[in-house]
Amino acid sequence: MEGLQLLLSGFAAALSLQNLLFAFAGCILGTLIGVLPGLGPAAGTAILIPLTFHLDATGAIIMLAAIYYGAMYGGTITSVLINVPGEAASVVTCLDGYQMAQQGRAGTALGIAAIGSFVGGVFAAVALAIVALPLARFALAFGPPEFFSLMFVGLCLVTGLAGQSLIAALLMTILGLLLSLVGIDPVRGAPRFTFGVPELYDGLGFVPVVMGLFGVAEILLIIETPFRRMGDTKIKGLWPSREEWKRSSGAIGRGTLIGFLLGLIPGVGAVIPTFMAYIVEKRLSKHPEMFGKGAIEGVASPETANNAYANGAMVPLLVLGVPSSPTIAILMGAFIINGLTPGPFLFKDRPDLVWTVIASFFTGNVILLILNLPFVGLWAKLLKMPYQYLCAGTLLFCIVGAYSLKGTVFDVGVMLVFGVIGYFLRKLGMPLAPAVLALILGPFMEKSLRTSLEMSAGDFSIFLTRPISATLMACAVLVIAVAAFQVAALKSIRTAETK
Amino acid sequence: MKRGWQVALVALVATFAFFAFESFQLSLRDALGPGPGFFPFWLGMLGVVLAAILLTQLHLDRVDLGTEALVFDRAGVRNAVLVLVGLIVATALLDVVGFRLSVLLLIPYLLVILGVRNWVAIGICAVAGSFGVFHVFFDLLKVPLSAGIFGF
Repeated sequence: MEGLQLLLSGFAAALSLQNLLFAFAGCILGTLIGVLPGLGPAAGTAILIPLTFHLDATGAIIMLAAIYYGAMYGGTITSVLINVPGEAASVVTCLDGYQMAQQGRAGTALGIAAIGSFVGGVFAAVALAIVALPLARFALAFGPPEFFSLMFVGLCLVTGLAGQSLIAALLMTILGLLLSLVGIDPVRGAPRFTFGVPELYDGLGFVPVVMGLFGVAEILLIIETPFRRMGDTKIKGLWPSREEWKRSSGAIGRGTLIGFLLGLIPGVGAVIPTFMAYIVEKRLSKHPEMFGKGAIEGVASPETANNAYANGAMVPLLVLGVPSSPTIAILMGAFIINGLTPGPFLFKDRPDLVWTVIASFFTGNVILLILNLPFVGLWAKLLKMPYQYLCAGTLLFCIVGAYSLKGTVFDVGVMLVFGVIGYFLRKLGMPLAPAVLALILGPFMEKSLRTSLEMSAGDFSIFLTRPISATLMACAVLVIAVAAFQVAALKSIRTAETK
Repeated sequence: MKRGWQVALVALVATFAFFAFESFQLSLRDALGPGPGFFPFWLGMLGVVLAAILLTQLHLDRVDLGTEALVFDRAGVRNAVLVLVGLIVATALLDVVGFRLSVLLLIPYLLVILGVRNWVAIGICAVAGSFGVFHVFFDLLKVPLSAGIFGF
């Protein structure tokens, strides 16, 4: 009941003209990022952080969250129309969405994707509102050992699910953690790895590093291999037929559940829920042979899961302070820039902000539905924009964003250095997600670890003698063991195939 | 691809070893418990060990890190390098000549490198990207951007 009251007060604030405008602007910018191929939600959110500098914390978070789920919506349009996913989570939508477009059903594919995304987003927001308060209250009992173990599990999940080499993912995690430790030691106040450079006393800025790794690196890759431009695909008949509704409704329901539940697990990322939703739908279908040939369920289910995931992933961030993906880590960075630390204490200290942001997920999803159904043709026209202008504009935004953080050229330099590093890492296929999550969680992890060890006079068993911490540590070990087993199994399958 | 990974892993070993060495100079423990060097030292050591393991596995062909060759398109890479050079120069000029002038030069440079030859469009983009963006961010959004020594 208390949760409902808080949510209603959140709605009162979220429905104010100012916050509606922030959500609206965020949805438009997010959809734009999603529509433009190559520029994913992580890069887009990082690049657009400076736009929120002059806003109050609530407005800034509302706008950035709207950019995030707007980008998840927008990615569908390119998947359906030109078979190029606007962001990674829309990859699976290409399979049937593009086939539908080839059959002259692009409008229906985009329509069901928008409706499914709306249903998934709203359901996930309702579920978030229901589970947030009890979970936050439970997490209030956490001390430093529990928080360390929780962040450790989060990093293990991200690492375990990151790619085909567990060691490579671990290396990226360690690199992210080490980079996060540059600057003044949070416990003793001693400078570390600063080499007398005053700009490094505050540490490497999270935003310039992420802008470099995702924004600049992405643009360098696009410049090397420009993407295709859209042909003249006609978009008509957005509303699905009765038969298509019948086939899609179950898919939307299942996609919602899969997306939301997987959003609760840190490290899963947006791609796995969409593929899982697609596979489940194919298994349950009476006509699995139609999948890949324009089955509407093949669009409805992953697109729903995609958006349910986007909203579900806010649960670990808001309630536990653990981001699930690079984009959510960037959102966490935005909280920190605004002087806020996501986690259970945020529900205690700033309930007004938390519930307004949660309520804004509802208004944002309504705005996105309006933007995506009647105006889908306008978004599609953006695909005709030459990539050269997109690249120049994005790089300009990166410079503005990095410079305006502290008003120094140093951060622009950091961004460019990490742009080059990101370019090579992506060329090699090194997983970036663990590095980004480690970069944001590093200082919190170190502080929790050292405070825990001070509590126990240096005895590491403190992490195993407290029940919650011990359970979380057991989960972490399990996650790494399962990931190692999967890598080994994959390797033996490949060896057998080669033979 | 294998050579690329080897170079990257050697660079990582060096980076982690550097962090471990630097952390060792800081105190690992003090009267209150773990010191400032404790966490980075052990992370650096773990990183060196893991990177060395992966390097060895790679050398012995015991690990598959992707079968595709590391492809660099020559013309594309040349453009990417030229864009990067432009960005570095513009960054160096940012505090000297200010945001507007440095971006006024950067945008046409980027667009020409990327193959745009429509000079009207280039001109419009340059003015919008420099004076327009400055106005929006500096005057409307109150975001600090460099005015440079000329003050505009």
